[in-house]
Amino acid sequence: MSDYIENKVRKWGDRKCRETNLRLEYLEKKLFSSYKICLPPQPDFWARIQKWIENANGNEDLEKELFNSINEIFYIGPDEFDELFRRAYNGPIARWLIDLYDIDVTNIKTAKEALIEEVKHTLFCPISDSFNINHFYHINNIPGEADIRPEWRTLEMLGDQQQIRNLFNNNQIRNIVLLEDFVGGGSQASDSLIFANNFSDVVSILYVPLIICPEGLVNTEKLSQRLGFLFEPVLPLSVDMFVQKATFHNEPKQMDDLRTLANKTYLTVSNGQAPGARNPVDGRFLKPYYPLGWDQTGGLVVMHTNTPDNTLPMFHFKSVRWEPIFPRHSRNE
Amino acid sequence: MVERINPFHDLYLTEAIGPDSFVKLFSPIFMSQGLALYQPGNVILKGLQGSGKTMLLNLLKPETHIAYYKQKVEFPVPKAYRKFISAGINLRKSGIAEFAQLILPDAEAQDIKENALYFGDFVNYWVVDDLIRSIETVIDLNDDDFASEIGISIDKTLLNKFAHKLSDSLCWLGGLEEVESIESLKAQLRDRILNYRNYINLNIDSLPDKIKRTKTVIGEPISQAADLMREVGLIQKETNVFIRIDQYEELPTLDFSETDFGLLCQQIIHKALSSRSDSVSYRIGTRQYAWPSEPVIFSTTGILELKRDYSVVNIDDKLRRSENRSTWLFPYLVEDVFTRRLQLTDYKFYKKGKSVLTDAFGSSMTAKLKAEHLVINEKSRVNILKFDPEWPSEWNDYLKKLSIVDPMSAKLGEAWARQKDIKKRNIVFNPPKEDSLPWNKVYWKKERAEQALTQIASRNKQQLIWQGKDDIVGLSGGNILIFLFICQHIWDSWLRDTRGNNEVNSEILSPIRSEVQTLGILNASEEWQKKPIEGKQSKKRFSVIQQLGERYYKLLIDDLAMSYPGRNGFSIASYDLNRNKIVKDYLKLAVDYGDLQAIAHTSKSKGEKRRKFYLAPILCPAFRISYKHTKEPEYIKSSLIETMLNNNRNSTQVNSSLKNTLNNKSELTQQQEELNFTDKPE
Repeated sequence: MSDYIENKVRKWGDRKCRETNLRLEYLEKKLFSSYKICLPPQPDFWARIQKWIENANGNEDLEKELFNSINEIFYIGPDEFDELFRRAYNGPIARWLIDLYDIDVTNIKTAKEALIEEVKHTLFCPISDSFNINHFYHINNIPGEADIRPEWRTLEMLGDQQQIRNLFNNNQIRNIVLLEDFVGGGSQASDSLIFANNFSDVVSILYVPLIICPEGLVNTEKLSQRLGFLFEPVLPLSVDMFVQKATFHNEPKQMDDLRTLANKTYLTVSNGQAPGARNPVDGRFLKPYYPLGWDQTGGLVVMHTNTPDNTLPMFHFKSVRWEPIFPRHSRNE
Repeated sequence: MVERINPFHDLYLTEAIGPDSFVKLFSPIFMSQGLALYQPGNVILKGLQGSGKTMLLNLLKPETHIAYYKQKVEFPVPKAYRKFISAGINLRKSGIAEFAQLILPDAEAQDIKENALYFGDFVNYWVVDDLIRSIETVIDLNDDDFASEIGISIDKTLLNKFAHKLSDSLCWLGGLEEVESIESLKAQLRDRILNYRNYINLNIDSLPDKIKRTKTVIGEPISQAADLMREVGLIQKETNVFIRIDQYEELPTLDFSETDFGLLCQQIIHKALSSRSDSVSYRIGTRQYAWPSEPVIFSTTGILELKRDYSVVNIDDKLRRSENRSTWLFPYLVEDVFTRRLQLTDYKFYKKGKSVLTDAFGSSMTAKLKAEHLVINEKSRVNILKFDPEWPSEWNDYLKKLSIVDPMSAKLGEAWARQKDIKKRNIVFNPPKEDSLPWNKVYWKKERAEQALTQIASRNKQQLIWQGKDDIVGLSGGNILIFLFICQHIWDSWLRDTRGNNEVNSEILSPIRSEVQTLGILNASEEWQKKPIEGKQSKKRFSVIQQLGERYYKLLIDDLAMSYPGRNGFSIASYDLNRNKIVKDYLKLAVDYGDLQAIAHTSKSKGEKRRKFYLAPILCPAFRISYKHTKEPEYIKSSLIETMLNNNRNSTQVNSSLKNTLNNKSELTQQQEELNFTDKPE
């Protein structure tokens, strides 16, 4: 029996689809097979892509659009995350400690020793549990003398301020690096950053998001200026990596196509729920929020650990009538 | 389930494998055409990328010969030519390119020349060291029979005698200390090479003064070493010494910062060939475009003379199809290469015929059968026809009925009724009987079958069918790399098609289905189309290919009368080409890079000399045109190509300009006639 996708590609007879097919074959091996939400026994990429195309209910043009849309996803796999971990440690964090403690970098050997000494007095703390802090330690070979790796949001909820101060004091912590794997608009991290700022009298604070969306960048910069903590992302995403709400002059065609596709499929994706619908009881927005995702961000990011909710919901939202290509694991279904 | 592999995954396998695997993979089919490589005299081995140059040169290596000997496989070189030893340098792998990095943008001409001389000195030391290594490889085998077959003595003591004499030779210009042992000689040679490598890797600030003062003349130490080997009896008088210089095309790329460094290095190599000494013979492996039409000798105005200083073995010419298919070597070569590749895997065939290629891919369908496969149901068969408003309904109905049973015949019938000849046109009033269809005349039909297929596929918005041994061999265009590239993509297509199918393991249900082959070939063609992005004038070359491909597709589908079925290529009068240097240079480059294939041909006008050019066959599927050449190509003036060269490709513009031309049929006819009228020989 022939493979479903191969049959489709032959039937479509379209050069772009053929090129997409070759690219997906490559990306599946290199990247897409690492998507944690769908590791065995969950359906593999090829089984999911079949269902993804079947979303079109036999409409050939829509099938092709869905197939080609996967080209536009910005997938960040485990190797890319390893690199982001390394970049964070050797870039923003090292620079911050060098500046903070006036380390002389003209002598590499002594500079390295001084840096490692300061690292021993630094708490690397993820803001949420989505950041794999143990892996961050391993990949950067960080000396783990202070054997505490709390998650800041949990500390915020469970610990009182005095206990946290005791924790710093007992472990000779004088620097905190707050880490986040992905920041969309920045609102989720802001409470944690405000809370962290309460300790600025005893510790220096650096906030390092690995990936940050344009809106998050603006909002966090404002917050850092207001509160006085330092902030340096590793990979700020540029505006042109997002599908905008409306078309504009010189907009790349693929972005226009994606917006059209997201809009025309939205009612199927959301199983009939209107864009921007709210829960009548508590007034909260209902998933999947908008055709362009949470806050109409228009994101295209898929991480191997999960898909952010500001990515186009057609890619990640599962409903009675819609099978996504990279289903999102959501905390509060 | 065992993971199935693609036997064609590595296209350049024979360049990377060791001697033992070489014996299994090397195809001796080409040997009869390349015997000049094993006889005295300098040879330039030309070929497109991946045509097998390195493989042929590697056959000269002693370790390759030994591998054949040990495996008791007949060495492909005829016995009469086996008395040889070789040494060589691969200009890419040896790090030669790094010499160019030492040249600063503001370097004086003298500095650049001096660096070129260092390059020559480096080559001398490298090759002499390699020559000693080759001799030692044979001596270490310690086999009298083998040594005597190639004319070498395995008396180790001769090595020291040789070392003493060579170290004492004036050819080194004082660069070597006199030594008594081969080990000491090798140590000195390698020390010099090491110094160069440290210098080009910026590990040392400058070369030692001794090296600066003792730069050798290219070729002299190499010839001297060969002569002394003969003198002391290490090799017999009649044993040839071949010096392999591979990847010569690296040199023109060394002209960094608009210096002439690469050019000077080329001239250094030419100087080695100019010595006309009997001591050694050079084998230069190069891509077509890199070998200059006038190979200037370093520090002179002299040029190497073809036939006198060197001869040329052009792999591409030898493997391209000539008029006589029975003498065409390429189908035998690919059959052998294909079989050898599969023998390294677990793939088996249920069917075992004479040709493994046919077992795997089947025979190519006839055009008639392809038409039937292209349009399967009645509706789509009728849809292939385009009716003239003036045709009577009886004729239209006749064609419709015919299309259902034989779509190819119906399409040809439609074209017949559109011919200029009034007698042919009148057929619409008197449809012929099925057994006497006038368009069934053998040549009329044969010449238009491919164009008819293009039109049928176009009317149904489908791709043409590409499958079977003949199509695969034809699309390869005499290039083994393209053949492997096609096989690689078909195999990938088959692997994808059977993904997750547990019934298909490491066996192959031959032949691979035609739709799977078609997709693989389309993938290969579209990928190959992107290749001109590499190399000289890449953007222009890419642009012209696009324009030509689109032009011929439009011309073929819009010519409903099928009056010009040969329009998948163009012809330019030689006199026109000779006075348009820009176009002439471009066409040479495009042919040298394999974008186009050039063929001399006889003009329709008596006495006129013309050249015809076709797109490389592998590019044709991407443009939905046939790779087969039939009838006359499009007669054009060189100015059309010049316009294409000046056109910063914008596909919309190209299409609209072509559309305007095509919308005015009379203009097109007029243009063609006008060309015939004005293209007079000088």
